[in-house]
Amino acid sequence: MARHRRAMRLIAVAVLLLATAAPSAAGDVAAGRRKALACQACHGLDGLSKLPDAPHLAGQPERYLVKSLDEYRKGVRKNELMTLVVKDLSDQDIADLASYYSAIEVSRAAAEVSPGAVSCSKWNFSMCRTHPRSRSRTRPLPAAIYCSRQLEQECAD
Amino acid sequence: MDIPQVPQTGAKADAIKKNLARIKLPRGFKIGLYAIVPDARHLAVGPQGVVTFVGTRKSKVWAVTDRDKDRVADEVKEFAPSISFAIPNGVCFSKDGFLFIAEQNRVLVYPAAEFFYEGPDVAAFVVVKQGELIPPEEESYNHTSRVCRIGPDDKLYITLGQPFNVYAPEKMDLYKKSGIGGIVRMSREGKDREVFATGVRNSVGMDFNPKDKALWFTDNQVDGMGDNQPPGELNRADKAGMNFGFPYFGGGKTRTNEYKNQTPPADVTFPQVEMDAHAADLGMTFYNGRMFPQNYRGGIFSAQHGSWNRTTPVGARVMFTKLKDDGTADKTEVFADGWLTENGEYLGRPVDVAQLPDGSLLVSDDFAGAIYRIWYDGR
Repeated sequence: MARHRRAMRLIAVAVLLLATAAPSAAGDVAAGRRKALACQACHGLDGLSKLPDAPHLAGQPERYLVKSLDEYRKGVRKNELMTLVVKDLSDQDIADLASYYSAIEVSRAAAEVSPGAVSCSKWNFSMCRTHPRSRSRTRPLPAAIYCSRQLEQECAD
Repeated sequence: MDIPQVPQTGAKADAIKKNLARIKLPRGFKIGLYAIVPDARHLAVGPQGVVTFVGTRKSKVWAVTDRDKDRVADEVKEFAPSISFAIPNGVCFSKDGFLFIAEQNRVLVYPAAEFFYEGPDVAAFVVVKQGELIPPEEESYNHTSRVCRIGPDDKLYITLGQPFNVYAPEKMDLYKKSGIGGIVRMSREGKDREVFATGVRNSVGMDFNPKDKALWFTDNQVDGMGDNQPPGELNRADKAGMNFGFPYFGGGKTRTNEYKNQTPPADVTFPQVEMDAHAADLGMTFYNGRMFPQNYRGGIFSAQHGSWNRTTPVGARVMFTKLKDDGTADKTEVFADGWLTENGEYLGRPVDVAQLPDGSLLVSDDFAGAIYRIWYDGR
């Protein structure tokens, strides 16, 4: 019984050591969530990108987030928006933000590839001949008709 | 070939409806979910009242139809799926039913779009060829949400945001000449292009006052000068050739740090309304309907997207600006808000406002991916 208790204590100490050794110790997730209000418009409070030229941050490696923010702050990386928002961040802010975004759990699945996508030219070829503004059934619309380069070629006289 | 539809019911619709219960409006007004539309940005209500076209900042344009006229859309599908769009944010109709779509660097027109949208075979004509709206080397994603309108002169007006926070002096000549950081106009065929307004930073909303034909537009102002300055803007251009102050002024009468030692042009026109700093005033429309009370007729509804990096977020509202008899701004008030929680979290971010033929108001939201409808029943 005594030996069992000692073993438990050892495990507890080991867990504690592991926890302090982890890089997340520096950042505070709760503080990071509050600070992330200034990131949510582009990266989301959920860490999922809200506009096409901003990356997802959810579940990103914490070290990578710290490194990226630090590089923007130093001017090593430049971006019209990021350069502006990081300029007043402290080391603690960066640590908190990195720990918040890296703590968001994400699930992943490989993309499914569906066969048989319809090509533009094939799909629209009929339009060139049947469009009501076209003068005859065989004469396509003038050069203004537009779908893709491929279609323009097919529609050309 | 059937175009897939966006599901209009389910958990997402329920969650959005629940969020709408938080929205505060003046007495007698109601708000409801009109449609689920992913990434919904600017709105073009078809003059026949059949379809509303919705731009995005991604690669799709949506066609939204209320077939049974219960004032809730029952069909949302991709418009012209065979055409690849790049940032097709700006959508606008001429009165005779031509749909114009202003993309990042191209403008196409779709004659009778309200009738041809049903199938994937949509006829389109080039107004501005790819790469000719702006010089391709000036392309960016930032500040590239174009908006368009057909003016009372039957010309096509397009806003061109400049890509920077504050651009460097060496860009000035090129931008003035090409209308970047301004508004350009051209014939509906894309000819006779001219710069209509300069000194604009990034306008993402405009509309003509049907009463005096003046063009009003919103403008988003400079970042990085603190949470409380400079103000956002609602401007009035009653003639061509006016200069609205950027980059010398960063919003209102606040000088930018970058140009503070330079003398601004003498003829700068300041905004009619100074809005909350960083609230991001985007789409706007004059209200010409009969459904809303007299007070709202002839005034301006405008959407605030909400700040992107302010320490405490602000915005995510619909504003109303009343005009004086002389056509200038009287006063601005909050019309609809509640999309920003007390903890500073966005539940939605309004982008554009547009009037339906029945006089109700549509509001698009690119965060929730939805369009709302605001109506008045007096209760």
